[in-house]
Amino acid sequence: MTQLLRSEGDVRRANMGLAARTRRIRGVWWIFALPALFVVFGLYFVPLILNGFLAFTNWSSFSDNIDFTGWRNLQILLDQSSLLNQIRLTLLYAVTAAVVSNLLSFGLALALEKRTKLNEFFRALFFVPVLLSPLAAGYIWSGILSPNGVLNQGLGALGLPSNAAWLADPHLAIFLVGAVDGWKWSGFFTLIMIAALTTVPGELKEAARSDGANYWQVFRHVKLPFLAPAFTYNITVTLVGALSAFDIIVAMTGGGPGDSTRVLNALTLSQFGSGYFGLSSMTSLFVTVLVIILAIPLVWSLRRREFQS
Amino acid sequence: MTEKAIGRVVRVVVLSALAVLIVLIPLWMVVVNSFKTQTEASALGIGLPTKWAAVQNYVDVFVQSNYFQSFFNSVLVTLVSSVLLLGIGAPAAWAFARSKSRFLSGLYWASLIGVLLPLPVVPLVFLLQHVGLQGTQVGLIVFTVAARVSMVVFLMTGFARGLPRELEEAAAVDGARRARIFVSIVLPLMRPVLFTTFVVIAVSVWNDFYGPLFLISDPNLATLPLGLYRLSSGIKEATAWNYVFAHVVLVSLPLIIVYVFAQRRVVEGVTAGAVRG
Repeated sequence: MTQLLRSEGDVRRANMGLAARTRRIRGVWWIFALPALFVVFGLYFVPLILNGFLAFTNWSSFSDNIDFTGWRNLQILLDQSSLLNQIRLTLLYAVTAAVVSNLLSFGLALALEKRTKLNEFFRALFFVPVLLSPLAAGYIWSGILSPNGVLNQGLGALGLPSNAAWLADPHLAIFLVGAVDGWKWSGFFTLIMIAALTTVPGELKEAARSDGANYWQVFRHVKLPFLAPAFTYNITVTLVGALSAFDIIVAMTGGGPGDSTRVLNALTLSQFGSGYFGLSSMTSLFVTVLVIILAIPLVWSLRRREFQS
Repeated sequence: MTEKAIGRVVRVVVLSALAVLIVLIPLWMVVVNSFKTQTEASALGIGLPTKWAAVQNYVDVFVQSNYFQSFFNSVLVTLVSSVLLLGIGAPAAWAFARSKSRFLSGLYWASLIGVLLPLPVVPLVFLLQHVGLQGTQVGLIVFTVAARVSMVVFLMTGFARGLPRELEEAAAVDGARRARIFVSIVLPLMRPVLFTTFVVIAVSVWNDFYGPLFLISDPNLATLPLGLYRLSSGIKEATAWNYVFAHVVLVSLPLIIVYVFAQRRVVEGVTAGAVRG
């Protein structure tokens, strides 16, 4: 990707003469962007700013007045002893999803890199979960992981202990729901990794091989640098998506057992559902801040490493 | 040579085993259990039904979930949102890709906000409530468009940057107006990315559960995932897996059918779209 952009810049400089001619009518560009900008500002920035205000009010379904209550909502949120736990669960879920989807898609991409009929069949097959609604995916896996489900049946057939109630285990449940999130997206990320692999110039691979590089060296020094942008994209998208995840958990555990899969976003919804809109805004503001704290430095550092390699 | 052949066989065996374990068995389990009676489905086995209850299950789910109505609602929301998103995304992408203005480039980065930050749902619902759109399909469409506009701008601008300028410049020299250049030259060139973006958006809108959950309470306006949730959350406690799975099949089948017919284009579209990002 960076490679592409760089050469594009060169072309642009070479075309300066032509560009000068079109510069005359530059003033009208913004009209084309106007509808999109209108949506982004009206429906994203305005609500985001509004969120900042509403989070400090007592807006609820129980009263017609909306008054400023200062830091009270944050106080309420912090006083709930479960908040730290919910942050921990949200992060565990996000990291599990990112690890599972990236490992799966990385392996699949390397195995399916070559464009053969058989590989295309496998690519298409592994893509199917991407098309399922997260809710449907959740119901499917809660069937598989149920105490008498397919997983335990399979373990039993192999003579292994087969009475685990997977989703009823409060320590295990959050990893399982996170893994299902990763599973669902791995087919999509596989395609992105394959696309990144196809940007590796063939001459580069051949040159490395004729210099006596083995498979591992070609992989480490030739392919991996080209995969870096794909990893950046995949990790960011999974993490950001997983931080506001919700559907899969609703279908698989409904937040349980106990509170062991109740991530922050489920909290937002339950507060909203019971009419505490101000409090709910505070929780969602909290998630937003969490994303900013986590995702932005992450993207930054991944990008930097990308350029170094 | 033989070593290479063994390697090839091992690769295919491993891939097949993985495909069976993580794709085929889950899907098969859903389908086969949706054909069983409630008692038999509660065992969650993957063998064929001893007593077929397929017709009964599907008819029940069809009627109980008001399938046709939800299907129509899903199609409506998906199509209208996708067309709106493409309609505002394509010209913006062209402008962001071509303009050299610093101001517009700043606005481009600003409009990517939604790629990173989650949609502020509560205040958006608050706004929609104030203009009387909460609980309506128009409201859901507005919500849906807002949630995805950044992704669309991101995907399309990446593509538009790679388009050759020569044709546009030739047309500009000939005195064509910019809007005309866009419609007759740029838009046809953007066809691949329009298709990719449409696929990505349509899949995500079709499967969306979050928006409908916040905005739609009238069962007659429910989309398919919301219907699935309403039906399943009620009966899962009673472990009526035959109904839950029949509903999962009915919700997923429309996309899978489209995918089977347009599989190559979908996969290639998504890949092409991703490289440009």
